[in-house]
This record gives sequence, C-alpha cells and structure tokens, in this order.
Amino acid sequence: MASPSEGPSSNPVARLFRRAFSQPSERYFQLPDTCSQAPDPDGEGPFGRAARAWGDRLYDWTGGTHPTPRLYIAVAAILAFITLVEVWVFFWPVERVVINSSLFALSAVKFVLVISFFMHLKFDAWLFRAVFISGLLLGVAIALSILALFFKLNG
Amino acid sequence: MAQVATAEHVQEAEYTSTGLTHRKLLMWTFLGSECLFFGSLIATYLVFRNQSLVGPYPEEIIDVPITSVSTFVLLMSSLAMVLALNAIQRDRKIPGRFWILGTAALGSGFLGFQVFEFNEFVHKGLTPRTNLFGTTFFTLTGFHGAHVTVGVLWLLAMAFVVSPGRSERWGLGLAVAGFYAIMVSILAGVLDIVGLDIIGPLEGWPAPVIGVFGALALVYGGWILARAGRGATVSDNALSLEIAGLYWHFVDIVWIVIFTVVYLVSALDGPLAG
Repeated sequence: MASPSEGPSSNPVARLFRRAFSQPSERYFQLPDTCSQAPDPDGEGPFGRAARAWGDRLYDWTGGTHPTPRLYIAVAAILAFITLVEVWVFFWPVERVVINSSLFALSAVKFVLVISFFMHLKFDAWLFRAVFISGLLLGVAIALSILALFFKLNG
Repeated sequence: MAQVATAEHVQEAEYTSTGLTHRKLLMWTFLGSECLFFGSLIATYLVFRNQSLVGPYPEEIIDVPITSVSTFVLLMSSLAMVLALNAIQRDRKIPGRFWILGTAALGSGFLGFQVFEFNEFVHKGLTPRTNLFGTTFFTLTGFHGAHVTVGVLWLLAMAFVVSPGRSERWGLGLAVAGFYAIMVSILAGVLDIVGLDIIGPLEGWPAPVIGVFGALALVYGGWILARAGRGATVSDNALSLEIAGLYWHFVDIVWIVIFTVVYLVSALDGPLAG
C-alpha cells in the first residue's frame, strides 16, 4: 500500500492529503531554503544599529573574553553600591517579610557577581562550574532539610 | 640550549587527565565541600534564631553600620585580589606584590573589626555560653574569621614566595609560624583582658613569650625570603595565586550570606515570644 508521499496516485482523497500535508522532500512542512552562512541584515530591530554598537563598545571596554582591571573595578563598584542599598533597605518602614525578601535577592546578586567575575567562573571551564555548583546545591539542600526537619519537629 | 629549555618545560608540565589543572579542580571541589560546611552552620543559626531565653538579644547589641563598613572592607579586598592576579599574570612584580599585600591588609582590617565586635559583645554580656544566639553567632562568625585568618596567612606567603627553593621554604615556614605565634599571643591577650576564661595554659607569662619568639621568627624568615627572592619571576606562581584567590573570594561570598542572614535579617530579633 502506497503512502500519500509515494508517487502519483489516482485516489482523489490520497491526492488531496498529499497536496495539503506532504512535500516532495518528504517533510510535512517545507521551510524556505535560506543560506545559514549569510550574515544577518544590518540595523534590523527597534534600535537599529545602536544596540549592537553599544554592545560592542561594552564588550571592548570590559576586555572581551579576558577580563580587565576596568571590569573588576566596575563589578566592585556595583557590589559596594548593592551593599549600600542593603543597608538602606534594612531601615525601610515596611513589613519585615518584604525587607527580608529584598535583602535575600540583593545578597544573591552579589553572590553571583563575585563567583562569575572575581572567581572567573563565567570565563572558566564547565567542569569547575559543575563541581562548585553541585556542592552549592547540596549545601542549600542540607540547609533547607535542617530547617524543614526542625520546624516540623516543633510544629 | 633548545634541549635544555624543552627539558625544563617537560619538568614543569603537570599531569592532567581532564585537560584542566588538577590543583585548581581540587580547590573548586574543596570550595564545593565548604558550601556544605557553611550551609549547615547557617541553617543551625536560623534554627535557633529567636530561641534565646535570656539576653542580650540581637536587637540590643548588633550594630549594622559598623558591620556594613567591615563588609565593604572585605569586598574591597576581593577587588585587590583580582587586581593582584591580573598584575602577576602580566608579570608585573611590584604592583602584584602591592595588591597581594593590600588584600592581606584589608583582610586583617576585617579581622580587626571582628575582634572589636567580639570584644564589644563580651563587654555587653554576650559570650558563647550566654544563650543560643551567642552560641550560634560565635560559632558561625568565628569559623568564618578562622577562614579569613588562614587566607591572610596564605596571602602573606604568596607575597613573598617567588620560587620554591629550599631556603625559601625555610624562610616561609619561619615567617608564617612567627606570624601565627604573634596572632595567638595577641588573641590570648585580648581574651585575657575581656575576661574570657577559655585560653587555659596561655594565661599569664606564656602569651607574651610566644609573641616575642614569633616576632623573631617572622623577622628572620622575612630576611631569608627577601634574600632568596631577588631576581626570580613572580609569574611562575600565577596559578598558585589564582588558587589562593579562589579561596579568598569564597570567604567573601560566605560573608555576603552571613551579613544578610545574621546582621540584616536578624538584627531586630528580640526575646523568645510567649
């Protein structure tokens, strides 16, 4: 029995099915044949060439894949600023839940910045990342288990 | 000549089965295991949070502005550390040593803040035996402080070691032992002054004597290192410094969490409700 994609058929139902869903290449939906090697159109998008220019400028300024002292100083300035914000948040006249959530979020940002840039985890081999993050996740799991166990035992 | 250079290169090459430096992989593994250690300590602190039956409570003694300054000092020490590594990787000896010593100095400054804080707390009546807050607070921050102290010693060693010869090893050993003895002596003195009865046999005359011997060892070890270090290249030790830097930054990220959990989140904790 011939499938709808195999050769011409006199069966009108099969012919209709083949026309609707099948292509000579045996794909159900034929994608337009474009050249993957062709460069992307220049200046496409809402910001034209500006976004790419700023991205390139930032990439050069930070030293590309090899960080420079300028990048380290910028990261340290951001860390110092976040610490200031943390102290400011601490004195907010709102519920403690809101304050504590904000503090944990800010702390997480600082944590990620230090391990990514100062410890070079962003630029280093994946195995280092895997080894450290495994330990980190295990540590978090142990901490959460201790907390869950304690609070369960205490009602 | 070329044969000699090749032989030296082969001798320096390190065996690896992963394509990566095993020493660095070992350090990352160690830091991963340290996450378990500090994760447990932080969880224990949170478990016993707000459970103290007697004061002083966190709301009475924690000083957020002062700790914010010490946090800033530790963050800046991390910046100094990456600048040191950057300089050493570019074979710039003098800036490299400057930033390494700067990192150690900022780390010592952080430890100074911690000693000041512990001293203040003890004067206000909080010791590790006073209440649950005291026990968990001193355990957590004390272990972190011990890690910072090890980091400072490591950095001081890195500032002076330029090539692993026999005389350098002797000099380094003497200098580090001397520095450690001085620290023990100072700590014993501080504990004696604040009246904490946990130093036992170091009470009285042994502490100053240890301090004097420590100072002599530090000076003599430093003199050996200064003589041995002339003319060698610091960039030989870029990997060793990078590994020391990983440890130092880890100490920094642990403090980021401790600062949030112990100081900011718990600073307004009072007596046990009900």
